[in-house]
Amino acid sequence: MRTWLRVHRAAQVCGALALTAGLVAAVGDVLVPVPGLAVEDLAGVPVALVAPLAASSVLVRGALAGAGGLEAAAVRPVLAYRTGMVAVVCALSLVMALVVTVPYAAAAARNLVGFTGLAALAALPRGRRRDAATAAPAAYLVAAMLLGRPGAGSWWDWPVEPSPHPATWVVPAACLGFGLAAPVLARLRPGRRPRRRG
Amino acid sequence: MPLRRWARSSAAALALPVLLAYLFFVMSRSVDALEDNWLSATVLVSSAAVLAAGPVCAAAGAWEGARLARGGVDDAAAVRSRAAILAWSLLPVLGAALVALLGGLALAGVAMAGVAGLPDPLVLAVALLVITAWTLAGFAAGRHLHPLVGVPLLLVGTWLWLACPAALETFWVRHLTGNNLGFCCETHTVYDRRALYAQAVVAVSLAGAAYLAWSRRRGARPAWAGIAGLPLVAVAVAFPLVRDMGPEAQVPRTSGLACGRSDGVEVCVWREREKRLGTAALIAVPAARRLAAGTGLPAPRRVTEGPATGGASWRFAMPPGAKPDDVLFGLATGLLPAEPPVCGPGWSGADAHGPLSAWLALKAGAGQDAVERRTGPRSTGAARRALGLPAAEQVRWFRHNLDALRRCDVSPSEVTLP
Repeated sequence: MRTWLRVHRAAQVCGALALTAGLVAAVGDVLVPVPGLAVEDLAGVPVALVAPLAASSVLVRGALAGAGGLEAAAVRPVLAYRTGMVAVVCALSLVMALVVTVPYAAAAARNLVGFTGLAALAALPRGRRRDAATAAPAAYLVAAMLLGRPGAGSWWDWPVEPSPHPATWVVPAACLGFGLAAPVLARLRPGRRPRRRG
Repeated sequence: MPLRRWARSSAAALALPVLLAYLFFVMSRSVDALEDNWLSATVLVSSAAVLAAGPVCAAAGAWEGARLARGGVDDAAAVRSRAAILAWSLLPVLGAALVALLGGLALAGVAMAGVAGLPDPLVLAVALLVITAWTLAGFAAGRHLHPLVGVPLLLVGTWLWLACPAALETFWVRHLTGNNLGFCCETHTVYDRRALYAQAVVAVSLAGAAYLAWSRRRGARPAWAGIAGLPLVAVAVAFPLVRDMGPEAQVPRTSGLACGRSDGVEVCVWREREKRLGTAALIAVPAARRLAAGTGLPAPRRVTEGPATGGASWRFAMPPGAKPDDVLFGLATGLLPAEPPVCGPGWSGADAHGPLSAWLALKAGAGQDAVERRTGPRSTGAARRALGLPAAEQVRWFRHNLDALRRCDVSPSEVTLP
């Protein structure tokens, strides 16, 4: 387990999570002006909503690290380890958001869940380098900034919605849930052998 | 490698449409609000290019840097220099940025049709320098970071550095980024070159540090000294240049006037407005004579859009779309102090500003409706009452209230309606 944690950069993931939490607490409420297509004036996006992309990218890098071929043939339940690692970090961010009284903490936790879920979804198609996972969360964030219309009815443009109202959790939670569950379900399907990855 | 395959395999092929779309989007929001001078168009293009290409090229650089690292250039036997290896990967990315910049210039050229002048090459050169520096920073990050981390980190990190300082109340930071806020300058101002020099210093040091970080051999300590030292040098040189600057990097323009003589008075407009010199003379010269007669001031020998002393030369403005009443109002209020005196609380001199503005504008020949729209009914009423006084009394009223605007120990007189 210790080796697995080292290979999957658990220390770096913890560091990135702590750094992001510090950033959200220190300068999270600073508004960054962003030109939007859907609004007339320059909309301001709090730094707290963007910062989780850093923690998410380090988490996804950690989760997808390691030699695929070795892990596919491993005796230990490495898929469960990986799923658990992502789930624990996301849960930890939610607990931190509930415990602390920092502006936009809940929205930041939601965005961490959402960005991680998007990367997990993008990494589902089998490919050695998982190129899509590199750009998918950032591309979604930029699209939401340009096209989003934050407000009470927001759901798809959750990355730029400062309030954590329930509708904004649907897409992030679904992305993370499906992104984590799909590899597990594929493994559980009878008569299917895991493909070897080069 | 065949050129087409070389260009197609670069991240620039993906980056170009993204940054072109973002650049045109950013520009389309502001292109209608451009001033009638090429500097404002150049700053808009450079600002949009830096905001669009900076983050995207940095992310593309992180991708290309990681590709080179994955290709083993650090460990393999060298057949060409590190700079040459970097250049072959860097050029397509910078080419994409250059295409975007030229596209932006073409769009600005359409919007500025008919305006005399050319883009400012220094502003464009600094914008390209900033984009190059961030692309190199991306290469340096890509050497050490997996694309899963490097690409989003550089994309969002660069964008935050470029966009965030505009929201800070510490103004000097925004003048270091190269973003330039998307706006500068009105025709009577020019871009403060100190900001451009500071941006160039920061960009060169970032590029230098990034190149050292990318090209250093494993375990080479001198490179670390450069990587750590260059940003310190940049701060030491750039900070004093921008420390005292306000929210905008504009300073008054002092050159670029086109002048002509009319009825013994020299009339000067900015060279972008040279076509309207005759119209300006027809409006401003008779108005200046009327004002001189009405206020008892000596008639000016020069009326100008440029710097004016207020004695022998008076100032006016004739921006595009300005009506004669607007020009007259500008000429008339140009006789009032530009800044209030530094007085303690309780200074009442400001009460004289509206009535004096209205009185001067009416003396210059502006229409009553236009004056009332600008100064309000109370100020116009007070001015009309003053106009009913004998000429000598009017001059006394004007001089006394002008003193009230300039000094702390004089109170305004008869500037409110009973």
